[in-house]
Amino acid sequence: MDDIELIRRARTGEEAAFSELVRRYQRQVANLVYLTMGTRDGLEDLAQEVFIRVHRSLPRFNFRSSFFSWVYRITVNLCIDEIRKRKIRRALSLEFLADGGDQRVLDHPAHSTPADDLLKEERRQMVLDGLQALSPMHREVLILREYQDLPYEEIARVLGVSVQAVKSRLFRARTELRNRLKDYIRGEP
Amino acid sequence: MTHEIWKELISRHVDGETTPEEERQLHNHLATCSECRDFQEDLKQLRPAIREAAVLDLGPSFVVTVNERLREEESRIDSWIAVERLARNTVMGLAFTVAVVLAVMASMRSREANAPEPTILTASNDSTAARVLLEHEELTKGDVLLAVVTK
Repeated sequence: MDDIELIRRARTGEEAAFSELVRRYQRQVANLVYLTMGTRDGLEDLAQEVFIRVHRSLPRFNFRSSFFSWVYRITVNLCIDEIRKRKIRRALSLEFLADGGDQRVLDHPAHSTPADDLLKEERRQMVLDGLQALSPMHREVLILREYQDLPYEEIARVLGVSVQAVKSRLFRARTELRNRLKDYIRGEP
Repeated sequence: MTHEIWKELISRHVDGETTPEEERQLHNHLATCSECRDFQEDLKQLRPAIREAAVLDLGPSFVVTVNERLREEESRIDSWIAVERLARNTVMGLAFTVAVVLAVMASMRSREANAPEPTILTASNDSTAARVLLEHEELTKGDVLLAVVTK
């Protein structure tokens, strides 16, 4: 069954239809949150909140854009809100003052990693840190292209910009991330 | 062309978004420019690096948790709707009562306004009438009493 039919059924309150939509997109949403936030801390709660909002907004989905584009906007808006909240919480915490305020909000993985995965985890963290260092505008376009594999036209629709702007942002984002990860990606076997 | 322009072309090239003519020009340029070759190689590594970083899966229990949260939310909304309905009914009941009271009061006032002018012998003015009549010496208290009783 395609997304459209599932959305129609979910709108009528069919729980199984919405569950299927969740199953289809949960991995993408989780990784979008992960790449955008740069941490696993609170990730599952955020991913749940995305689908709660999706469910709440289903009656307003107009079928003109793809379901994923719509879910993506909800995910990104939620992540932006969360980043803002975490920054405020951190700014208000005593730990922030004690540390001189130089620690980043999103740099602590919530789970410990087995020893043999440490290297992989370190590499992942470097990429995540690199992505976090980009402006939100550049991070978004890079995630949509490199992770979601969306064509330029679809990225332009999701972001509400021209295809030319997508090309330009992608080039800037790639150049900046490449400069940050140059040593790491060249060290790869 | 500057390196900046070649690199922008390389960015589109790794996405397969270049024309055959651009591909030909780029191929010739890369044959002679090590800086742009390095750039191209690095860009090709970005995609696997990002994908390797995004390896999370939430597992089958995730959808169960989402459904539980949705049911909780629906139950909360139902509670609010019940509270709202009760509040609305209470307010409407009060408004109806007030409207009825006001209508009754208005009706009474209107009835009073339309009532005939009181005569000298209406109950409220009987004592005044009696006093006035008594002031005229021709009438006795018995005459006045008789007049009142007759009325």
